[in-house]
Amino acid sequence: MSADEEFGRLVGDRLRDEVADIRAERDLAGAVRRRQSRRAWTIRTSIGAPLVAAAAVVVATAGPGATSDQQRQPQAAPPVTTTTQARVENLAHVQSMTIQALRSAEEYIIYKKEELSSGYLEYWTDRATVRYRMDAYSTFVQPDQQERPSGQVRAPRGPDDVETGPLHRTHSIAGDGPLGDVRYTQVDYERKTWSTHHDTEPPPVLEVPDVLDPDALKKAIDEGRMELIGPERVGDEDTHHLRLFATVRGYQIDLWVDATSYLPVRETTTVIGGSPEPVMTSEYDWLPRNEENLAKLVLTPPPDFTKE
Amino acid sequence: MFASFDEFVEDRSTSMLRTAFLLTGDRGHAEDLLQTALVRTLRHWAKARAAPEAYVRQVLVNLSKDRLRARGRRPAETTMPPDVVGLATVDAGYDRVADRRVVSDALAALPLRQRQVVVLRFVEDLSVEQTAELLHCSAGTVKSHTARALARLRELLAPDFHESQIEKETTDVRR
Repeated sequence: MSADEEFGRLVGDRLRDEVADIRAERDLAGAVRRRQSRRAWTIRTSIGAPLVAAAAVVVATAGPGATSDQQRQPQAAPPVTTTTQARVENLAHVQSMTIQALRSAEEYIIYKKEELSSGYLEYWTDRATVRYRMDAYSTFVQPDQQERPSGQVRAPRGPDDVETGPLHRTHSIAGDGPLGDVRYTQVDYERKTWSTHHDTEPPPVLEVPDVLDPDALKKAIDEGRMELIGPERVGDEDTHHLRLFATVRGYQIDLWVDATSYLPVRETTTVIGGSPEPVMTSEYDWLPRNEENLAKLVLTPPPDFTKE
Repeated sequence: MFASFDEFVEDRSTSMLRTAFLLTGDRGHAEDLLQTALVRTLRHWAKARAAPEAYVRQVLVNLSKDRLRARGRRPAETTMPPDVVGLATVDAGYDRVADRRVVSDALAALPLRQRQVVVLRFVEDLSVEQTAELLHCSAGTVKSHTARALARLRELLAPDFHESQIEKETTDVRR
């Protein structure tokens, strides 16, 4: 059994343990029969959109001191005042400028660094040629996959058994083509192997909006899921702090856009109701499309690596 | 084979609810999802009765995807029952479990497809091929999603698993 398989089974066992006390209601079959007769699903689907749109208007008019709870209780929002009107206009301006700036993303190589507890990920994206590259760095050491004389493979007993060492590059992936037709090259620096893959799957459903996608951002604005927190300094840069909420789960995304260019500088994702610490922090840099930066997108496996 | 729809629900609903919970990460949505899946199964019981659990599982997987797409466009489909106190008698153990949902919280942080392969492969114990068939993708895609999911879970779980290990060792020493 591979290390992944063994870890997966451990995860499965713990998941079963964690949900062991969840039980279905006693008369579920009866409830299903009642529900079938009501056809509530269809009715609620048809009335959903206008309700969300109405809620969006109220969220957009909430004052700067509004909390998350207040945003979820439209009736608690303060009455519209001159100050609030000005704030809405300011929010609209920043949103508009941000969307406009993102529509010029093809003029740059977008560099993104994502911090993880055990390392970081670096991404370079060129929207003009629909290419990207990701390099992963970690302190985790790949378990010894080599067979021992007994024929057994040494595998970790669980996540607490993961070995750590110096920060090192673990793998790189380069992708070429639009989602649904992406050709990948992957290099594994720990196992000294590389492989290619053609992914024809349709684009995945994103639970957290892609903040670099102007259309996704516009959708969040249209649905009232975005608000302006205010001006803030990030490092040496003046920024506007925006906050938006994911559509599908309790995520809060904080986005800082440069006060001059309106391009994203930093993004954090926090689970609402969970730890106050972000589960993900990304820093952005907008690089010129020169030879040096375009070269970052090219991934060439080292000659002594084995193709899988 | 189950003699009736009611017997099937009586026997398998708890297990299916747990799967729905792991797919959605939310108890309310899991219950709603399971009810919807069972409504569809009931409508097609004549066809589904040969393997009703596989039928429900397929509907759960399909609906969990649709649900995530649709949640932004409409309000929750179930409202809180008026007597929330009554919930405690139905499932008194849930609050206790919620306090230690370390792995399921980490699972909920994964993208949907990765979450699905982890649940199907390691909770439902399906093979790579069965999972691929259920998700309408290739075995290679299942493998790559599984590898990415497990790598991410390792990242997410490392601190918690480490702490729980220390707690366990401390408790052991005190004993």
